[in-house]
Amino acid sequence: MTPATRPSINPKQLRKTLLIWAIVAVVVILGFQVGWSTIWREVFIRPVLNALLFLYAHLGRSFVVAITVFTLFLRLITLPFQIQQLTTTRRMAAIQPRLKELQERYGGDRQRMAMEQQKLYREAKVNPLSGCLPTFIQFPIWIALVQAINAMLADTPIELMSLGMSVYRNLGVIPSIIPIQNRFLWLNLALPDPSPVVLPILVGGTMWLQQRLMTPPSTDAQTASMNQTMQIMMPLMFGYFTTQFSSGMAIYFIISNIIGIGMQFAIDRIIKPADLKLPETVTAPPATREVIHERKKQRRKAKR
Amino acid sequence: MKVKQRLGFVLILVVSLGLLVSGCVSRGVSNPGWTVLAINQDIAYAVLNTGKVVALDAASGSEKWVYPIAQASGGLFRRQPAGDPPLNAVYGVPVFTDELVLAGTYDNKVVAFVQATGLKAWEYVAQGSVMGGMVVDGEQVYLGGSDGRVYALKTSAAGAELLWSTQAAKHAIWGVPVLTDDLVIVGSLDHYVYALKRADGELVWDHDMGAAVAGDITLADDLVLVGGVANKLTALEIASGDVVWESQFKQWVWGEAFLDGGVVYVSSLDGQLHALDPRTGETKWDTVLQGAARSGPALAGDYLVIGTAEGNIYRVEKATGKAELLYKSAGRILSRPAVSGNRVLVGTDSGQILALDTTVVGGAPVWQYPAVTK
Repeated sequence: MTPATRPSINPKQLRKTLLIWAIVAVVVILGFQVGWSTIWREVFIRPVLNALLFLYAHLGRSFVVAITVFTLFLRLITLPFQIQQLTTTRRMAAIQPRLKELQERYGGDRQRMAMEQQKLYREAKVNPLSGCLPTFIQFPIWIALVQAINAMLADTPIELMSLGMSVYRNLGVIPSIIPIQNRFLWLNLALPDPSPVVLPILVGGTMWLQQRLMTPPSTDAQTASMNQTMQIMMPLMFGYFTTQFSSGMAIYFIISNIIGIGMQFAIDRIIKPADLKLPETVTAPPATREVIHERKKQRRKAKR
Repeated sequence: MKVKQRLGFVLILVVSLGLLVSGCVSRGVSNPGWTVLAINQDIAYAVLNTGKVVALDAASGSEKWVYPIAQASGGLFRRQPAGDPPLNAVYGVPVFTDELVLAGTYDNKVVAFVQATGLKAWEYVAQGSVMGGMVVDGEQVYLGGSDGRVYALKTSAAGAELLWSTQAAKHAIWGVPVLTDDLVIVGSLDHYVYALKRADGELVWDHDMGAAVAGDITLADDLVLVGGVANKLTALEIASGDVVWESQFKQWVWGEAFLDGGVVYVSSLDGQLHALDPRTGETKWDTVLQGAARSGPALAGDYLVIGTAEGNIYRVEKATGKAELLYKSAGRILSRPAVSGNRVLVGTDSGQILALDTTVVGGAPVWQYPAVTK
């Protein structure tokens, strides 16, 4: 391989990759040494549970207030990622016509297609994978939160035992607040909604609205259809699951969705379309079939 | 192709979310109860955490009877067998009347089985879950419910009749009550201990413990010993409910204290077993075990036998507190062992019953149920 063709190594990129792999290696080694369940409990469940208990103890001993403040805090922490996600989705939407053009032009040549796509992403400053990052980051916290809420509301001895094993000993106020006040309006927060309609509708409705606000319009028919399916299926499924969840969990979903809707409005105000200006080369209108045909003709001519 | 892709996408979404939710939902899926057992006349009566009730010969482990006869299959798509379903989650140790064995369930029931045959004699439905066990005196049975009520029942082979029920507590009662000649005393998650008249359930005294009382309480001469979430064991005067002494530990005291030969033995959730003077609460010895000790110990000759949430089953010398590992099981031990001679029976949360010889350290179980087939 000649020096000219050897791929150049970006030292910054290399450092980043090595760091990621080092973290992965440490996590894997720790997982096998200490146990995955221990890591999961110590890194996610216990901090989340104790934070919730702390908020509950100091904010009027109200589960709903504690959950609201915690969710707000969580959303604020992940706000930069959410903004990044939104920016990415909007930029992706903006370059959709160009991507379609590339598909038409290089559909048969996968390697070339990939190269051109990468080039386009670079020019548009888009990393398609970065759109998933906020979800990946929030996912373990979300599951931990669900488990923490179950343990916190402790309706059974097994759950109370799990709570007892997870409470930090130096949070002195804890013994006096257990068991958590599980009454809210007509609900026992540890059990599903006795009227199996109100909470499922609220969960499904707020989720649908949030998704509708968050999903950008797509020019690609297949993506649009997929988005549409998601927008209907997810709220329906979560509405059904709410009939099985403890109502405390349903309350969390509603609060989380409402905060999400509010934040989406705020982000929409912060990031104006002007902030997402893309280079003209990127947003140039897609070539028509005739233009593409003409270009191919010219290339053939040039080869000759 | 598009339709196929879309269907595939929806299918993956539904399956992933289904799996996720089944792992997160608390009710049903993660509320199997504990495997609890008690021995009466050399027969061990156990409720497994699958809802199955069995009577086993304590010496050999041979099955006398099993309820229900057809067992429901587990998994996502459960098939309900014909006839009686398994019991809902059971947390309290079974108790005995002359002819019956009784178990309290999460779905508010007291279920009675004929000891000799395993036939279901009757069910009594309370207004709240029956989490703790019951206490029996002749035909009378006393229990607390998750509705905060204390129930007094008169039982026979034919059925149960409510003598009285009192809304004693503002929160659930998960522990087993204790009886004196004229009182029934019970702890509640509402932080209080209540003493009620046995005759009619009228309140005699109550005492604020400052933290939830999740477990059973114990009688020790003229004292009642109460553990709880406040990391301490408190001795109250039976007559008045006044505090006589308190012994502070590092974690919750959930397991029932055990009084033997002028010493109180009690475990705490940080995996310690403590021996105390019942008159002063002074510590005689502490022993550290591996894993949380949810339940109290059982007496086996000169030893106490106790299981932990890490599956370790220990025998501990009563005199010195020296602990030796009898056996390490795959499942967690969350309920009190039962003893018959030098044999101790332990229920695990993987739905097994192990019979161990207390004279042999580190040996294999004498028998286990269900039997392991090679």
